[in-house]
Parts: sequence; structure tokens; C-alpha cells
Amino acid sequence: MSTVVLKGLVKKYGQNTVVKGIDLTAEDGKLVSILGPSGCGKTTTLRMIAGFEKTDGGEVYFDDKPMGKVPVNKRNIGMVFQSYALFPHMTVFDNIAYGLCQRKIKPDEINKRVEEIMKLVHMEEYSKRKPKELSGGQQQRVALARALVIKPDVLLLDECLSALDKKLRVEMQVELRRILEETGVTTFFVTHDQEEAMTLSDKIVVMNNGAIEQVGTPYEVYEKPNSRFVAGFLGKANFFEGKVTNVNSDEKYVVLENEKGTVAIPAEKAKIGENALYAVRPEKMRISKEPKTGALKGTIEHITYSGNISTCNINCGGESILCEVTNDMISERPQRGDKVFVTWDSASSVKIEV
Amino acid sequence: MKKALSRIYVLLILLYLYVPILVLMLMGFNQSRYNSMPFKFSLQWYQALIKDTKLIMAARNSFLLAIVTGIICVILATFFILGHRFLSDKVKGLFDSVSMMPMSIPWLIMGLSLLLLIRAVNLDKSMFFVGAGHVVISLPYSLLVLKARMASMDQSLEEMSASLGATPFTTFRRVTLPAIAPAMVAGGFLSFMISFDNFPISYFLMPNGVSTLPIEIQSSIKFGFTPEINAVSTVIIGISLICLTVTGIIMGSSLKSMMGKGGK
Repeated sequence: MSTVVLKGLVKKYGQNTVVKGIDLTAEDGKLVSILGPSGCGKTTTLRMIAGFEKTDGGEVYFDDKPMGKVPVNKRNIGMVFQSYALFPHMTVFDNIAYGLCQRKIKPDEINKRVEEIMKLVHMEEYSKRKPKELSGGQQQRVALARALVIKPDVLLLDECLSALDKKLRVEMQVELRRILEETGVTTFFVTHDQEEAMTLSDKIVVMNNGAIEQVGTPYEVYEKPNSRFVAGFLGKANFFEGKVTNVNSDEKYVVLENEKGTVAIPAEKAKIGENALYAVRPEKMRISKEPKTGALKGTIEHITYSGNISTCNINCGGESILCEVTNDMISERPQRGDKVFVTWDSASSVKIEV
Repeated sequence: MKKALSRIYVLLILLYLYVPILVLMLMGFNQSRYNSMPFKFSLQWYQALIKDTKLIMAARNSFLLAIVTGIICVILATFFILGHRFLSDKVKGLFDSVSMMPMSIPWLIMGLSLLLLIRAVNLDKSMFFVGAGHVVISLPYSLLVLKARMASMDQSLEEMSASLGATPFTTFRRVTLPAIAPAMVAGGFLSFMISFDNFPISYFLMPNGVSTLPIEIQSSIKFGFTPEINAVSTVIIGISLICLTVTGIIMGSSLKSMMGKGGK
């Protein structure tokens, strides 16, 4: 187990720079998710940590040891691919033992360690099966066991849950968390699924266009996004943008002026005359039929009912606002066409530096 | 109605493809020297075949030549596809067209040009050049099969092996080779058949006094055809079918194991 440090990592394909100088630290035993849309360079970054891709600048360190000249097979990494890449002609046991066999470990010791790890991933009954005879979730467990049994310095997971169906994925997330806590291995987890990143990570790295947008705990990146991209990529967000024309610090609202007109929203920390951008999460908003000070007046244009919550598209004087309300009362569900007042706590308006 | 028509259609195609071969096989068992009716079962042509040392020598030459050609083609094709992946797209395209070219050049011209080349540098016709010629025309078939297998192989298997600490050689031996082995067998078999069947290249390059089965058959037709040829053809077809079945079984079982990933 190691602390992994990336310093100024760069990758170019011909004229294209796909990774533009990544600085990142994964502390010993922590799970770091690299999250971003496809093509953002997250998989390339992971492949540079593994050593599959040569770096065009910067360096990867495992516990202060530079890895640039160390080939993949000498790096002591555990890897799980999206396709699992189980060796099709080998049994579950042989798949898991493969890495140990490369390390010249005694057969007794190999047997012991393979059996231990199979117990850990609950696959001890399947040791004689071939990969094709396993379900997707079971293949996933074998792939994980194979990566972990060699006691890697760092575990690299590349979209490894995305091939599973939703229910199984959630189960495997819990399972993965448990297994990683028991083994305590430093882990990088590449995903495009923000929910997965939230549930699993100690630290989330949001990448876009080959660069890091934000690094933080799941709480930080969700509640305090530092860019419009991060706010929009992790969950849903309403944006309010414009020149600040009035600030009322007693009642905690700010008046913004933009091409669509003026809008007063609950917010803090603004200076008159500056251009400001606020992001507000849809679930932080409340709607009511009674007028309230500082509330936006609007009409519900569309409602999507999804069991526990309803998502309302509300037209507030030209601004379309997305608002999620919990369906806690059967009788008082909002209806399309309702005239409503939308309000939220001023602290929920996250000011994004522009 | 539609179903019946399509069945008749398939039947006609099958008849078109296989009736000549069936007739040939049948006549090998006919007593008549001139393939004439009525049909009278006899094994005399097979008996004659066993005694025909010339034909048997030619068959032996053909077999040896085809086996050597098949093995060389598989080895060359395997090295080719292993290196092929590391080429840039531009060079890859060039290599692909050049390596497939022998398929589109008529064998007659290929044989002739090889002969002219040998003559130009003052060398004699020899079995070595026959073999070289056969490799040139058979290689594309091995390549085709191996390239298709390699393209469908999950590249991450090799990366996975490396990440688990295996050296490039171990990765090749334990991961790549088992994955492409069936294609090596199939490719080798195809190249074998191309070589075994070849007339023009052998005809141009074969040294005097040596012959292969196709050449022997051709010349024996010139001097009077006997159903012995039917008999030898039937034997060849029998051997081909056995080879084909064995390849099919090897390919089939390994294909199934390849399909394993992601399957339910």
C-alpha cells in the first residue's frame, strides 16, 4: 500500500493534448474517484498510473518512488477493467492465482492466499468454474479478487461497475466498499457515474477536457462546486447569473440583472456592481402556494413523478427552474399550471467564481 | 409455399456444388474403365492405386510440400500479427494491402514470374523454390484467419497479464497463444489446402523428375484417364473432410470459451 502522487502528468496523441498536467495525491488507503464525461482524459490518466501509456510530461510516484521507467509488470498494481478481462481458458482459481504464480510464490502459499481472497469476495464455491459459467456480478468479484490477491500497492478500477445492471451495481458498490476497507488498499476509481463516485469515494476528482476541475470530498464537490461544469455534471443545478444591482443582507437576498430582466434570489455574499453566478440544487428548493418575501413567483409547466420525489419545471418570468419536491403528502401534490412561489435558504445559493 | 420455394432453391445450389464431386467419388467404385453405366461395384481402381508408385510418390511429395508450407505460413503469419499491432495506422494499411496482394495476382503469372526470376539469376528449378512459391500464395490465407482472431481478441487480456506481473514472454505463452491457437490451426490448414491443390506454381518451378499430385493427375489425363484418378481424389476428399472436422471441433470449443466473457 502506498501514497500515490501524480505531478504535472501530460499525455499527447499527435497534436492533441488529452491530459493537460494533472497534479493529484491519493493518500495511503484512500479511495479516489476520477469522474468526468467520456473523453475527458480520466481513463488515460489511469492508464498512465498503471504504466500502459507512456507519459509525455510529469511523473507518477508510488511512495516517492518515480515510476516513469518501471514497466507495467514491475509496478505491483491491481487492475480491474470494465470488460473484467478474465482469462477465458482458465478456471476461476487459475485466474486468481495468475499474479501469484508470476511472483514465484510457493504453491502452498498460493493455495492459501487464493482461498482467503475467494472467501473475501464470496466466491469460494466457484473455484473450478470457467469465466463463461459465471454471471456478470460473479465475474466482477473474480476480477477484483485477482487484482487484490497480489497485495498491490495501488488498485486501479476502470469503469468496473458500469457493465452491471442497476440493482447489482448498487449491491456491488456496498460490497466493494467493504472489501476495500478490509484490505485498506489505495484505490483509483475511474467512472462517469456521479452517484457511484459519491457513494464510494474518500475524494472525488472532477475532470473535464484533460484537466482537473475540482478535487474534494463528495460533500465538498456536491455542495460547493467551484465551476459551472462541476455543478452541472454532479447532479442537477439551477444557475442564476447577472450583474448584482441590489444586496439586502438583512433579508438575505440579492437582485441580479441580466438580458432576461431582473430577478431577486435568496443569496449572500455579493457586492453591488459585480457579475455573479449562483448555483442552486433542485432539492434545496421549496414551493408553496402562499406568497413569501424573497420568493420567486412562477407557474408549474411540467411535472415528472418518480415515486419518492416529483421534479417540477417552473417558469419564473422567463427563467426555467428545476425543483424537486418530496412526495411526503399524498393530498397536496403540485399540479401542472399551479401558480407557486419558489424559495430556498440563502446559504443554498452557491456562489461560483466566474 | 414461400418456404418450399426457398428449400428448392437451397437444394439446387447444393446439387450444383456437390453433384460433380459425388459422381467423381461414385465412379471410383465403378468397374467400367470409361466411367460408363451400368454401375458395377468394384474396388479394382483402389487396388491399382496402391500399386501405382508414381502416383503415390507424387501424393507423398504434395503432402510434404503442403505440410511444410502450412507450418511456415502459420509461423510467418503469427509473427506478422504480433508485430502488426504496434504499427502506425498508415504503415498498417500499407502492410495489409501488400500482404494480401498475392491473393489477387493469378497463380499462373506468379509462377511464371518466379521462374523468370530464378532464370535471371542463373539458378536451377528446385523444391526449395517450389516451397517458396507456395508460401507466397498460401500466406495470405493464414494471415486472414489469424488477423480476424486477433481483432476479436480482447486486448485488455494482455494488459491484464502484464499488470499481474507477467513478463511479455509469459503473457504471450499463457494468454496470447491460447487465444490464437485455434486460428493458427485453422490458418495452417487453409494454407495446407492451398498448397496441396496448387498446380501452376509447382508446374513452373518443379525440377525434372519430381512431381506433385496435381501435376501427376494432369499428365495422366493427357495419357489416358483411368478411374484410378477418381480413387485418389476420393481419398483426398476423405482426408480433407477429416482435417476439416478436426479443425471445426478445435475452433468450435475454443470459440465457445472465448464467448464466455460477459455471457450470462
